[in-house]
Amino acid sequence: MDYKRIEDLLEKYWACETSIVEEKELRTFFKNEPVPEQFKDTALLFQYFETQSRQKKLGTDFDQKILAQLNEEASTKKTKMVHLFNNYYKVAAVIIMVIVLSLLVTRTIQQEQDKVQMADTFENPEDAFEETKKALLLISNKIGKGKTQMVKLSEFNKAEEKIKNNNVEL
Amino acid sequence: MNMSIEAFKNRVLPTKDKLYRFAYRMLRNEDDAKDVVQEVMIKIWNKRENMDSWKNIEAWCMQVTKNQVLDKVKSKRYKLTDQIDEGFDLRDSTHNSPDRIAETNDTMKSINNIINSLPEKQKQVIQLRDIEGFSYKEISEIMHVDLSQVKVNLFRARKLVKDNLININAYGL
Repeated sequence: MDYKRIEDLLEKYWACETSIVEEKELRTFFKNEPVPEQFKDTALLFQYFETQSRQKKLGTDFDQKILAQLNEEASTKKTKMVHLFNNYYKVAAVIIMVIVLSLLVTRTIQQEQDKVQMADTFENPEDAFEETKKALLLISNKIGKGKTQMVKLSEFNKAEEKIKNNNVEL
Repeated sequence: MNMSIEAFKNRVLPTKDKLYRFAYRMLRNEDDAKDVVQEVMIKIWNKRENMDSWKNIEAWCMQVTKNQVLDKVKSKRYKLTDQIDEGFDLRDSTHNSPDRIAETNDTMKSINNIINSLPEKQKQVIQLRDIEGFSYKEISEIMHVDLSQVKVNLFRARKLVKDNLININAYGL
């Protein structure tokens, strides 16, 4: 039997020039016993590759474990979202409370200020009346004083006029 | 597009064995390799919205696995297990004589040791190409290196294996 093709393929293989298909061909060739004597060493390498590609497997229990974990992860994510929403509600409630409180406080302060501006100086109306009377009396007294002064001034006017008249007569 | 659990089952989970073998090749510890694949599965699930940017889900999963393995190895606490002798499943081969099986088994172990003692990148390339049959392009994506780097590493790895293979058979190492 002519092994020229296998020899050529091997040469290409060591030079890293084989395609995946050609490498599969080599694997299949060396899998089949008996292997020609000249390829004995190389055959073991390809048999090693073949057994390695089939050994070491993870069973279905692994799949179950992973899928259970994914489901668990998905549900924890949901609860996390719920927690997040709960927190949003809390935050919103606090903000509203702060706004309401600050509005109340500013309104009260405003009212206090208004009260001060409109505040009466006397607590009962009689006192206020007396005080007003006093103030008005004071004003009339002053006006009275002013009037007497004005009378004196008018005396001067009279005298001045008399003098003027005398001058005309003279 | 979002990946449903169903899509995950059909497209991601079936890659588990390849991922496991790769992780095992690098870590040489079954439990650690299994942990890595589990972590990778969860990572892929959490990144499922990026699925569209990867035409090749298998290569994507393998890349995540490679990174996860490297992270594990880099972490200070991690200690690589010493090489252990493995048994080889030779049921498919039709060697009849027990002597021949024992001899083959010894050679298999030697090949295993040769590959395990290759430099990290060469080991990764051999695992991805010669055992799992990924294309050069896929390997360059998985390993995040140029195509030329893939070829250089594969060439060196195959050469080392070939040289050592000759020694095994010449001296029965």
